[in-house]
Amino acid sequence: MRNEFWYPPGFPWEDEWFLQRCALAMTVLAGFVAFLLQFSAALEALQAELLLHQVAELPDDLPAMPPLPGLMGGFGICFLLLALGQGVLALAHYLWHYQGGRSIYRMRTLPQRSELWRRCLAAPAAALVRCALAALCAAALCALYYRIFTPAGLLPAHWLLGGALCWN
Amino acid sequence: MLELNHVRKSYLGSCPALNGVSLSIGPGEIVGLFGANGAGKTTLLKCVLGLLKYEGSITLDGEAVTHRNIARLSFATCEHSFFPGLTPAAHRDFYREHFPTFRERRFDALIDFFALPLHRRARGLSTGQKNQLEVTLALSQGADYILMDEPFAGNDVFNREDFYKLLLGLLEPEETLFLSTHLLEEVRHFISRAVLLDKGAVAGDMTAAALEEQGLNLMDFVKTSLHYREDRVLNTLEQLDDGEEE
Amino acid sequence: MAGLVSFDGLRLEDGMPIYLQIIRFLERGIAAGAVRDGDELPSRRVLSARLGVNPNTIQKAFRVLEEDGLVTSRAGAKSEISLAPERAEAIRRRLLEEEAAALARALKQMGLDRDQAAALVRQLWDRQEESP
Repeated sequence: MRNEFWYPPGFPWEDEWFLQRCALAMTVLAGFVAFLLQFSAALEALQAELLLHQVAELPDDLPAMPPLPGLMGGFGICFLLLALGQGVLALAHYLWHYQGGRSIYRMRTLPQRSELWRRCLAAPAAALVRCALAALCAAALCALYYRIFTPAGLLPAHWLLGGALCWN
Repeated sequence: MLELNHVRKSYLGSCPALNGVSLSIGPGEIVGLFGANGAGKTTLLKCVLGLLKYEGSITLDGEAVTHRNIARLSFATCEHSFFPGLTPAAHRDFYREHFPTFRERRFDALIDFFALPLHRRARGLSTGQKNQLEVTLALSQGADYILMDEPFAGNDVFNREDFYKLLLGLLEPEETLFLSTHLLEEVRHFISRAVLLDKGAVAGDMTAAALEEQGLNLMDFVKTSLHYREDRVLNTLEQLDDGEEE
Repeated sequence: MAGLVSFDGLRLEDGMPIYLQIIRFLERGIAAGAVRDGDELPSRRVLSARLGVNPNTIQKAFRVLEEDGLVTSRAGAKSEISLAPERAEAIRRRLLEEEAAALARALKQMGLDRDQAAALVRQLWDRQEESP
């Protein structure tokens, strides 16, 4: 299927393709950086607490790293923005038909009912899927990083999902 | 048969744009739709095409206008419904794919006649050329009812006269043209029927033959139906004269 | 040898129904001898496009011509002028009388009497012969 099939007629889809790839790359990068920042901050705070614990010889349990979901806030926001951007893109595809004339009239009077929908929504929908997949992969990387770089003994129970599903 | 029955259309918070329009247009007619700006001509055409919601009924051979029969209607508008990013050649491909009744030979002939550059994007054409592309597409779609809304805004008179003649030679006996225009004088011999719209209602509807029998020309018909006051200009000038000192 | 009737010289005017103008044009052609028995008329569609006039109007003109017996149409072929010599002569005479009657009326309206009118016409006729 030709690429033009999935975009509004005459739309500069190659430019959009390029921007989508850039946006995705930047979102992954930004998400990972956001996680790293939150992780580092949490680790520093944890180490300070440990020191305090040793010095004061507190009898409580040793403090631990917050579970992973607690450190993924920034990461989540980055990908959420990318997802919302797809909504804006769908709208932009629709408004394209009001540019330089009213080709919206043509689209709305075609015998093929789904034509307008397809051309407005296909690319953003595909991008959403890519966004979800990329988020999963990047999240896996974050989990790996968390597991490797959290000092032994400071891993909490339920480190992967604790707090995410509210059962502890 | 395109039938409109008591079609009403109101925009929010203002007088109805269409106030109970009933019309019947049969195959082969060339119908001129006339009226002042704001009389409802464009609204009427858009309702027929299903671009606007309306009350009343509009049917094509007894069936409502849906995606199943919409291909039998085509539209050329001064707002331009072509794709600015596509070339005429790309439009041809698009139409070939989407309209089984696409008349490719007619398309090629019209592009030739207008000397339109096949491989320039539509947005790069002059206003006159854009109108020509718009009209070419509407005529080549293979529709039975061709609706045109002021399609010649911006074209010079020679262009237009040649075009009416070409149209008369091109149109098949079953093809119907429903043309909204303010160029009364030019189209008076060309049309077979004149429909007048005034404030959203039909103020007059006569065939050219009936007009001829009554010895009326189109201009007279329009003026009487719209209660046009010939003395308006004179009255105003007289008033101004009275106010002036000698 | 039958030819195709040319409508090049027909300029449409206001005031007279188009179909009558077409018929009139044809009659003038007959009177002048330019249109002869057996000549073919262009098809309705071509004539409609040529003159920029709705096909119904052309249809009406053709129908009146057929009813008058001036034109015969055959299915699948162009319509033909059907002109007996007496008919052509009659048309020519009628048109001449109409033209002359119009002239007489105009000259009378301007106050000329019969002899003055005749003298004027003779004078202009001679002048035209000298410098055509």
